[in-house]
Amino acid sequence: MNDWEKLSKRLRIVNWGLLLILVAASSLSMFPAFTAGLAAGGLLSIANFSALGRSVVSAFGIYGADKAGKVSIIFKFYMRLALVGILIFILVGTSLVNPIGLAIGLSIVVINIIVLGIVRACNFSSREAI
Amino acid sequence: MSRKRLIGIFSAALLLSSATMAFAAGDPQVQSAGLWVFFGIAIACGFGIGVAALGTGLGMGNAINGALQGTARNPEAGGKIMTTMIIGLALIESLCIYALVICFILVFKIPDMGALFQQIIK
Repeated sequence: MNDWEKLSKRLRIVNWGLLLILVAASSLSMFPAFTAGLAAGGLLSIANFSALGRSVVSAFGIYGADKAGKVSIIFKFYMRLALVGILIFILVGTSLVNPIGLAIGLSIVVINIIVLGIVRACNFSSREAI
Repeated sequence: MSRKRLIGIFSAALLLSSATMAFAAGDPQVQSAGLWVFFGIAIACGFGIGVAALGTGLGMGNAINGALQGTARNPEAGGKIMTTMIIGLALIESLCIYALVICFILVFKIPDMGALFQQIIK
């Protein structure tokens, strides 16, 4: 298992855990549209992150992308962006979800990465001190 | 924050709120003011998402450039560099998604669009 697979597995687990905790807390204390926004944003950001990881690994991996693969990688990249845009448009435009909840849900991966970075920096500095 | 900037922010907020409230009144002058607000929001959204996309593109390009140069110089570190790059790309891309969400909020949530279109149809 290489570095990316290890980190990706860890990030995936923490992402889902964080999403479940936030949705559970929100369903107990907030109104339904906010919880729906949180869940939709979280699912969208997790799916987007895993698709981004997959496309970058296939484009810049050890074997690189062959000529036929390059077109499909670029196509998939733009399709992913378009899909995210359309889904956010539908969610916000039809007032299905609360936009603040959606923004918090979309931040799940970012929060997770920042926390991971802080934890790694703390571990590194404590190792340096020893 | 400077005094001029504060006054600017307050006057913009006042204009927005007064225009939204006045749609209900049906005053033609205020309707045109509302249309100006809508026009301003459309311009702001267009420029906002454009600037966000520009920044995201520059950031992602810079990150990929650095990562590829690092991998070319030290191929053994390629795995670690790519892992860090993917994380960086996710962080950069999220900024553009936030800008998109804010644009949609501006367009769909801030002005009372239903009332605005009804006034225009009338």
